[in-house]
Amino acid sequence: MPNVESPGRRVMLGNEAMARGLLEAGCQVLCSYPGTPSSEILPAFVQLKREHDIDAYAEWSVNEKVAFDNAYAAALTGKRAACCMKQVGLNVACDSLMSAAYLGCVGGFVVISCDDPGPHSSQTEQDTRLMSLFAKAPAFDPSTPEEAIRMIARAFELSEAKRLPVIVRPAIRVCHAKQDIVQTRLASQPRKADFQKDPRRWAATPKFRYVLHEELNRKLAQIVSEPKWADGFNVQPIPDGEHRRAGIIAGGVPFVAVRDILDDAGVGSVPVMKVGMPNPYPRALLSDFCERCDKVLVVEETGAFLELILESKPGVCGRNTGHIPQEGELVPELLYGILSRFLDEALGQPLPRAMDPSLEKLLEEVKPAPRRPTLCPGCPHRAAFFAIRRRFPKAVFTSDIGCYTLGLNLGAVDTVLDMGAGVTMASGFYQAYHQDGNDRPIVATIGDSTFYHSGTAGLMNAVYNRARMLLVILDNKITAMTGMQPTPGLGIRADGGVGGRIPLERVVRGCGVDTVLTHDPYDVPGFSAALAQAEEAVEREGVAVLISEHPCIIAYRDQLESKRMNITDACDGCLLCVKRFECPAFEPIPGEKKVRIRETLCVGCGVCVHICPTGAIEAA
Amino acid sequence: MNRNYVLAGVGGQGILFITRILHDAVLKEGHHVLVSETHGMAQRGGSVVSHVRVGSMQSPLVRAGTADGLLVFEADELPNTVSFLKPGGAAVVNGPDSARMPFQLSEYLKQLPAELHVLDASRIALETGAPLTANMILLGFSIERLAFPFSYEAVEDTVRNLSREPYREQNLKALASGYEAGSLGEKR
Repeated sequence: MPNVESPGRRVMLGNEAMARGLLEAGCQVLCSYPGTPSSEILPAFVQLKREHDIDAYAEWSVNEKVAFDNAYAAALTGKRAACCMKQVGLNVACDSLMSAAYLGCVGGFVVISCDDPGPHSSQTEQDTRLMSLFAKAPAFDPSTPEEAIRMIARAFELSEAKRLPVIVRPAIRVCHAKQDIVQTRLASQPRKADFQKDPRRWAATPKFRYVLHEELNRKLAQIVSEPKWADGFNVQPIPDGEHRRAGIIAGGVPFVAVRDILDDAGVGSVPVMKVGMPNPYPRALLSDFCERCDKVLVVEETGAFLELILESKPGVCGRNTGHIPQEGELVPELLYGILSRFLDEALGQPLPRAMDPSLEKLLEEVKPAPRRPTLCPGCPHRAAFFAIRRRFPKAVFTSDIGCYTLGLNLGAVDTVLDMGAGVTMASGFYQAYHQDGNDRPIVATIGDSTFYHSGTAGLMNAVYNRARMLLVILDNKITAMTGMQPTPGLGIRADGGVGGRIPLERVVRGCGVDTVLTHDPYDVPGFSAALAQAEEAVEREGVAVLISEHPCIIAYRDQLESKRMNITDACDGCLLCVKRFECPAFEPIPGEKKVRIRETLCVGCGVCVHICPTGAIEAA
Repeated sequence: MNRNYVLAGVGGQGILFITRILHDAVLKEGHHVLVSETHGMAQRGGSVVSHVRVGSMQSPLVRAGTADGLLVFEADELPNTVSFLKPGGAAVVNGPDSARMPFQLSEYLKQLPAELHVLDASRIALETGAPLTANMILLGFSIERLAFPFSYEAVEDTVRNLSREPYREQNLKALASGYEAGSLGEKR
């Protein structure tokens, strides 16, 4: 193995590498809202600027649109700025992106939008490259953390040279990959904010937007005609005058996955064209490659993007021809089969068999039981959901995006659409039933961070349009699912500094809600009483809010008052604690009608004392 | 020389920490390293998988059937990940004993063939009064059994660097006890 020891070499998470790339490129402002797989970029940026004493600004914004606009304003002052988010976060910022492409910028402006083929942790597998096409903003598609650093540098140069926003689209296998990367010196950027007023541009009316649109199209045409922008990222490997029977076009993560498989199988001679800058389309290069091959397989994630323009060319295959599935991640073993079939078709030479058929059969019989995610032992959301479900057995339960989506397992979550829909769909369900004179109880749940992100408009709308619904805000004092980022309710900023604290209750009252109760869900009887009180308020006033307030037990581990729990002989093995309450710390004793507690998992929250029908659980 | 490893378990078992130790120890020995991790929702008590690749490859995921070593922190996760092993590979599993393994699974390992090493690291950790060090015991045990491309000294150094007080000594002790249990002695 090669010796790669170098004093400045360190293993970095892709997201950390990108934070480094931003600072190396002189990014002075970074704004973000947490979302997997993007969440670690901003904290790494904060840590790096601290380590290297760099004067840069970082903020957790209230949502992605807010992050985009804040960073964009900085770019209008001439500074280099960026925002980062997950792919569905870009939906929230899409309105801004579309317009910003027309208006352009002054200092470099880079939008990092992280895709999630799989999906592992998102509501869709949408492809940011299509968003870049829609918005007419150029896009880079890195294959590795190391390449992401170089692409961020290029993106800033391009953004500044052409004065338009540029997208970098790392997928989850870049964000959450780690690679050994050489460290470089980082230094502060001296640029001062200097916004040059030009209302005709920065506040352009529709009439002038036509001119701006024309300008944007000119910029994109220029970018395609200047090879330096895609240099090293778009690579057509077949020499002039040569012809191949089979070729592969790939970008981003699939590019390196394809390379590894071909090299591994000893067929490294099959040409693979790399498309690291998919927008604007490298038309000439792509056509060139297709003309030099009889058959071409397009391998890309997550959707068909390059394939869209190549489809009409003879011999091109991919997702739309059934060679590649239309959904899911292109994991290496899946890709292996795809490549093998393609090479068999094109050359009559499949890859060597990956596995012995008899072993394959055995493996099928092993049939793993997939482990579904659950709320942590002691999670306050579990206590809240259990009480809600018990109080409102016939309600429609709308919910939202966060750890508490796992209230699914407790039968207290019926719908999850997107950020904020816990509130909006609740009023929607109410109106649909109310129209028929057939009101049903509606109970919505939303987390604290999600409520700040996009709960207020829906709540005002519910009050304004006289919906009848109970909203339970699950306030665990943190953005937990994405890795413990602070919320506006804490008054702690991204760099740990003191921020303005915005109490949930004040926001809720500001949205027009009169009855706002707050209770700790760990106090099961008290919380149930609060639910009853809130129910009465709904009857009286239409919309009521109960704030279920208990800190996340992972983020605030040291605040936990742990009790040692015991199961007495009263346990009759009804399994309510295992199945309905779904606490991972309980397990049935094999061969007995009894349950035991797994000491290593139990955190001693004591909520289960109140849920056992036979009263068999007690605090020692 | 390229090497592939897969680590599997559930959220809260400290797999990301072990992954960090592995890649830093690999780097200390002067090799290139690529890793893929599980973050976010998947960690919430669900399966957690890390891939660690040493050598000249470019993509972070290990392909099924090509892993030299499999390190399983929760026996229930073995069926999910056994397909990663290559013929001639080896698996280290945290569990009470190998006798409780489903027939097809042991048959699969036999036919592949792959070596299976079972160690009840959770029990050992509990007995030493440090239940959270099961992951360290397992790591120490695997160094020779899974032929990791680094010396014991390199991994010990790394554990020392990455452990926070007051857990440093505890971790080093657990690592050493696991290493002793997993040492192949003259078999090497």
